[in-house]
Amino acid sequence: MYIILGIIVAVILVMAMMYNGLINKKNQVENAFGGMDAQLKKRYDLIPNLISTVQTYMKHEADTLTHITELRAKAISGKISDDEKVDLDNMITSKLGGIMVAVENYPDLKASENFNQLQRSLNEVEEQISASRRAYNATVTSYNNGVEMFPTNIMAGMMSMKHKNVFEIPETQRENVNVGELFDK
Amino acid sequence: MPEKINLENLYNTELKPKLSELDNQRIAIINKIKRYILLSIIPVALSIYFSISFQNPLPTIILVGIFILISFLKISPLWKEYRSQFKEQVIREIIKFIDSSLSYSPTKKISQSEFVKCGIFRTGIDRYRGDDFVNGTIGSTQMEFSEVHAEYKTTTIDSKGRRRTHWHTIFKGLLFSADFNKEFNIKTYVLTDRAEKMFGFIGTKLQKMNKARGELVKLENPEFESEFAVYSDDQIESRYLLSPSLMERILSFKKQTKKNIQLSFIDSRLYVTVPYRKALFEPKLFGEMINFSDVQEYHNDLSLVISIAETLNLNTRIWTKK
Repeated sequence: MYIILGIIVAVILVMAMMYNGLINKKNQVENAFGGMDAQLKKRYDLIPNLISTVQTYMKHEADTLTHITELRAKAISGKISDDEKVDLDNMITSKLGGIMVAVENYPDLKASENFNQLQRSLNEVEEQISASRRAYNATVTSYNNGVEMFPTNIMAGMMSMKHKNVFEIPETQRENVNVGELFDK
Repeated sequence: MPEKINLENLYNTELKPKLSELDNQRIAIINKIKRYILLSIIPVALSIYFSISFQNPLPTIILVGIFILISFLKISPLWKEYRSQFKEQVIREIIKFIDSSLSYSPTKKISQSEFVKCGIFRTGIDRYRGDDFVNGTIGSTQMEFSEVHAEYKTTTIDSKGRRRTHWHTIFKGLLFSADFNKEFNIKTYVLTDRAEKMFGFIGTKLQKMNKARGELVKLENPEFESEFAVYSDDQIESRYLLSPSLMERILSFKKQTKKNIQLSFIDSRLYVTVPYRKALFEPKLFGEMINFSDVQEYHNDLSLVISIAETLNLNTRIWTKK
C-alpha cells in the first residue's frame, strides 16, 4: 500500500518539476522577446533624429527616408503581430544600412559632428539589437530542447507547447564592425 | 619577419654590451657564494664532529645559521643591484622597442584593490606582491598591466604542537586592465570552464546553480562555450560585450598564449589574467645571460600582453564611447 502511495507521490513530483521547468523556459522566451523589443524601441527613438539630420543633405535619398519614417510609424503603432514586427524590423535594418552607405556621397554630412554622434549611437543600438537577438535565440534553443527531448517532450505534448523558430541573424548584422570603415579615421 | 630582425639588431647593438656587463656582476655574485661555501666547510665540519660526539645538534644548527645569515646579508644587496640594473637596462629597452610611448616602473604593481575588483578570483588574500608595472595608451585604448602574485595562508598544528604556515597561490602571472570600447553597466565574467569539460551537461547544471557571479550565459559559439563559462547579471548586455567577433578574438588569444586566460568586464574596463608558473622578466643567477633566445623570450612575453588591445580590437571606437 505504502509502496504504491510512494510511487504516486514520486510521479506527481517529477511531473510537477517537468511542468515548472517547461513553464520557466516558456517564460524566459517571452522575457527575451521583450528584451529584444526594448532594444528595437531604442532604435525607433533614434530614427526621427537621424532623418532630421540627414534629410537636409541627402536630396537624392528623399524616398528612402520617407519610407523609413513610414515603417517606423507602423512598427510603433502596436497593432501588429510578432511576425510582422520581425519583418518590419528587418526592412528597417536594411534601409538604414543603405542610408549609411549612401552617406559616402555626401562629404558635408559625413563631416558633421551631429551625424557622427548619431552614427555612433546607431552602431551601439544595432549591436545591442543583435545581442538581444542572440539572447532570444539562446532561450529559444533551451525551450526547444525542453519541448523535443525525452522525457519532457511528453509533458510538453500534453501542454501543447510547440517548437519555436530561432532568429536568422542577417549577414549585415554579423559584420557590424565593417561600419567602422565609414569613419575613415 | 622584420620584427625578429629588428630585435636581433637591438640585441647586437644595444643589449649585448649591457648583458655582458651584467654577466660580470652575475659571475661576481656566484664567486662570492662559492667563497662563502668554501670558508664555511671547515668550521661546519668541526661543528658536525662536535655535534656527533656530544650527541647535540645545536652547534651545527647555530653555525650553519650564522653562515647563511652572513652570506644572505652580504649577497642580497649585490643581487638586488644586479636585478634592478637588469630591469632598467634590458627589460626597459625591450619595452621601448615594442612601443616607445609606454612607461615602465620595475617595482610598482597593479594594486590589490584593483585585483580584488576584477572579481576573477574570490579567495581572501593574505599576501599580495607584484612588480614590472607597464602603462600607456595603445591606439586609443588606455591600458596597464603588471606581474602579480596573490596568496592565502593556512596554519596547521602538527602532533608535536608546532605551528606551521603554508602559503598557497591564488593567482600568479600577469594582470592586464584596459579601457573597454563599449559602455556597459553590469559585471560580466569569462572564466575557465572546468565543470562542463569534466562532467558534460551535468556540469552545465551545476554551473547554472552557481549564482555568485550572476546567471550563466550560454553563448552560441560552441568552441568558446567549451573553453569558457560566462556569468553575468544581464543576458543581453553580456552578449553586447561578447560579440561573435570578440569571442573569436578571445579564442585566438587563448591559443596564442596556450594558457588558461580569464576575463572580466567591470566598470567600463576589461581585465585579463594570464597565469604563469615562472617569475616573469627576471634575470638568471645560474646560467649565461648573453644569448638571444632569452631576450626573445622576454620580448615575446611582453609583446603578447601589450598586443591584447589590438588582438581584441579595443581600438575600434565606433560606439558612443570615444
